[in-house]
Amino acid sequence: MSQKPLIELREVSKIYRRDRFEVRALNRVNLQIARGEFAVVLGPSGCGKSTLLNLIGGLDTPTAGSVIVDGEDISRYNEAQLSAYRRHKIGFVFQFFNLVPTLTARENIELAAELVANPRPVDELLHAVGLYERVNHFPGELSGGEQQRVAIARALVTRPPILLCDEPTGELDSATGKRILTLLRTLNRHEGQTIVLVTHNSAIAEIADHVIRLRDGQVESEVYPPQPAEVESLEW
Amino acid sequence: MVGGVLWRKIRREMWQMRWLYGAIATMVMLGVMLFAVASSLYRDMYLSYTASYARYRLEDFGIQVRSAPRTVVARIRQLPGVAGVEGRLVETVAIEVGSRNPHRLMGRLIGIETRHPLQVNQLRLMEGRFLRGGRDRAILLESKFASYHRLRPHDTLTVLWRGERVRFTIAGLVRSPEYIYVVQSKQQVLPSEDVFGVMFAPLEVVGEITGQSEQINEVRVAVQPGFNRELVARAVEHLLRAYGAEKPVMREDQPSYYLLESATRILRTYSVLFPMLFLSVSILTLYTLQMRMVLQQRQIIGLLHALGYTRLQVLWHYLSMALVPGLMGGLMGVGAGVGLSGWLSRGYMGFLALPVERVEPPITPAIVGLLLALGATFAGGILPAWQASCIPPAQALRPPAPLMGRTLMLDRWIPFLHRARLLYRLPVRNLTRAPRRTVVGIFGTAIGVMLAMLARGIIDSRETVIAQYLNQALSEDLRVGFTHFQDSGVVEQVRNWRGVLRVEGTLELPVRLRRGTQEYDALLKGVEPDSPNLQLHNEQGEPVALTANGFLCGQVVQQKLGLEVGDSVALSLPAEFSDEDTREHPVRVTGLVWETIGTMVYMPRSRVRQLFRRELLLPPDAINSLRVWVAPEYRQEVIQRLERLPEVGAVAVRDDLVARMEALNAIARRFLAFMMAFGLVLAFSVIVSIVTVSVLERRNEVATLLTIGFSRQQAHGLIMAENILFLTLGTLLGLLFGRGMVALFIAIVASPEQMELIAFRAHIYPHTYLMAGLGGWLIGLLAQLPALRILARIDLVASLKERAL
Repeated sequence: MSQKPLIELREVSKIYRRDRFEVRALNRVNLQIARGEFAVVLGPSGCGKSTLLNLIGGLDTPTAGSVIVDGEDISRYNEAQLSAYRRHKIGFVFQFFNLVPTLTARENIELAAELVANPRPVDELLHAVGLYERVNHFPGELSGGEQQRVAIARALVTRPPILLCDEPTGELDSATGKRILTLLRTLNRHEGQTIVLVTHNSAIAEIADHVIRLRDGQVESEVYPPQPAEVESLEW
Repeated sequence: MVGGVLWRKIRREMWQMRWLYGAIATMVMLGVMLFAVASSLYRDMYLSYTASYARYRLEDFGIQVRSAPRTVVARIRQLPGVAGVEGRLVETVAIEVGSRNPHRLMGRLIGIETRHPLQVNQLRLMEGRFLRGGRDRAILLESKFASYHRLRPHDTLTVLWRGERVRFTIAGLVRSPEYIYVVQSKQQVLPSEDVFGVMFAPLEVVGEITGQSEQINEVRVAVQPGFNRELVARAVEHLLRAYGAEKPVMREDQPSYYLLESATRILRTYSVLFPMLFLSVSILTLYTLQMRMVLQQRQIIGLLHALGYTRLQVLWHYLSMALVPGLMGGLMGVGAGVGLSGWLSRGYMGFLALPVERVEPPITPAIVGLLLALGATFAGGILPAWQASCIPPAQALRPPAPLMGRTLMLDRWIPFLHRARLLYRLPVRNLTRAPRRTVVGIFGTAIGVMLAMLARGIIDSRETVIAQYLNQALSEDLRVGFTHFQDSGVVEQVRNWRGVLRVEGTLELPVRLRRGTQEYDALLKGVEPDSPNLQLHNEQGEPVALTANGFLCGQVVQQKLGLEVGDSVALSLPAEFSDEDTREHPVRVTGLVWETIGTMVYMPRSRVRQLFRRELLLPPDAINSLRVWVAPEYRQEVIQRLERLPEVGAVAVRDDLVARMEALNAIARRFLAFMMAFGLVLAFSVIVSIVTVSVLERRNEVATLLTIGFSRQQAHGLIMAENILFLTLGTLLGLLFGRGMVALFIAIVASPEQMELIAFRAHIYPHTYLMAGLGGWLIGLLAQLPALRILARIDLVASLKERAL
């Protein structure tokens, strides 16, 4: 990796404490993700994937080490700086979609759009994710795949350089999951969107530019496949 | 601060829970409305009577004298600090009202100066004309008395003075700042225009009738601003000492002023206490609701943080959800309060017949009410909103760690619980699983029960006081007051009449009791010690015997002078009662009695006569009042015969007094019934919201139970059992709270400073406990039904994905 990485983790540890118990979710992790990369973080349940994503996304702060994004050490940010960071730099896509049930598809996207000065046009995004016809439907009236597409549109509306996806296909059947992955891959290839996707589904790793395997809070291996597979070829 | 989309979210979520938010808005509305109405009524009343006092120059003090020449007034006027002075001749007379069947009442005939406009205690003429002066046999009649007896200008009215009948023409109807509450003395708690009237006649005429020409027996003085009232009063008293001057009675002790102040203070208490209750309940309910909202929306909160919303924006979003019902309820409350307050103020002013009536638009109460509404909802919403803003986003996005389960002490303490099936143990254990929910549930139920009990408890306490007064202090059918002392021959005379069952004569004198430097004015009742009708009890309800060597005193006198049994006090008469110099008589307290209404001291009648016979020139076995028990069918006949007796002032009929008290009580009862209805609505809202929230929070748990094979009945039974447990605990606590709240309310309203004449104590009937307790409990049970119906239609898959709370 010759160019300066967009995301860099240096000796990052995260320890959760509750009463007398201590859980070391991440242990001295070092990692670099380049701009425009489609990175997939793989690992079994409880290996620290979501913690890693939360630290990159500024939802949590490390117990030790630094998280450097676009040259800035976000682990030193205060609450207000983290809010601004998430607003401008990060788009989140969650396993359970996390749509606000009392807002329509359009309104869920507008919820994020209202936060920035120059958001992407909501209609354009809805067209891009193929949901223009369902724009005024509430989440309860949408299928899982449709809900996730709304969530992706919402994540993209603020033009974030980084898209963080936490098990985005975990709640979907394989056909719908593939459609979501195709959408993400397209965004990555055509718009240069940096994507970090965590999953326990190793099949998804085949489409990645960069595969990071985590085990027990540590990076077990990193692979840069020379020829990532197409989404259509995936089987799970 | 919060974008349009989040406002839409607020609107829709509130609409989904419109019944709960509606209930909160209603509570806020009621609180604000009560505040606006009561505080504007208080303010209008305060403005009106202070304006009445200022405009019609209420005295700063008054001094009674045995008898003084009219010319002394000019000398008083010369004293430094005296802004105005009036010399008057005041006598207690009997009045005959009605032409066909004349009815005899007590009256106060006040001779006033007519040669110049009154300088103090000026009169406002409502109808007719002022007095012409000189020998004009006309009177000005106090307007409430006139209105009650349907007397108009040009009507005639007969005054009886020592057996002499004097006919007066009514020149006009007036209102006086001195008689806003028309009472004979401070000891009289209720206005009594039906049996007591005040009239003003030229000083010369009153002097001529009473044989006191060019004499006065009291002065009323207004003090110049900047002068010390006490010093001026002392100077006037010094000047009048030669004429048998009494101690000055300052404005604060003037009966009407005193009672009006008491009534206003009670109103001020009402204007704070009741709204605060309603607003406190709305705070609690809102807190419960918002807390639940925040717990349920953890993921959304996490999402908002993840999207880049700041903590302040998240806080404002959830706070806004609380402020909206506050604003809505506040605006509705202000609207209703503004609409009602003018109407109520005018009605109350009309009832009091104040010389000056001021009814102002309730702008300040409206603004303060609205701020209170927002303040209350802010208080209810800020903690949940703060919690929402503080949830770390990563934590908000993942399922919360399960609540720490623990074995209850109860499990170990109660053997059968330990051996019981898990299904029965679970509800008990669940109470401690989410302590906050349990505490909120228990306290919410307790507050609901307490509210239902409060107004009813006050009604019970009022009714108890009145019943005690009527049954103990006023057990006779007729009470006859004489304008002058009689010998006991009249008792024998009446005893022999047809229909008279029993007669007792009493000797009642206003006296001053002094212990060291402490003084207190009370009514001394000389009674027959062996009377079977003398029901004197101590605070514990035990009978107290009247002994010949001392006196019994009521609790107000006891408290005022710090008396105990065995203490000695000096007893003296007011100067105007005696033609000689008054003397102090040392007497000993032989017992303490609990008086319901009034500040009395009791002595055997013979002992009273013995003490004051020289000063008052009392006839043998003197009396000035009769207590008569009569067979119902002879009542009218006996009344007529009594009224024909010489020097009878008035014949008070117990049934009329009961009816009048009932009428007065009905106003209070209506108000309290209104409050009780509000209380019940509140109780219902509180319990429904808390139980609904509690049931709905358990969707995930019910779904889990159903998934593992519980029947719906079993799952619902589990939830119901838990609710019944907290409802029961809450109900028991509510009964204790209710008892305490009634006692607190009465302690505030009936504290010695606020109303020293009525021994108003918390007394709650058993059926009130039963009604409030059972009512609250049943409401709680019923309140589960809508939420349980929702659970019955539960979407298992969706609910299993919800976070367990």
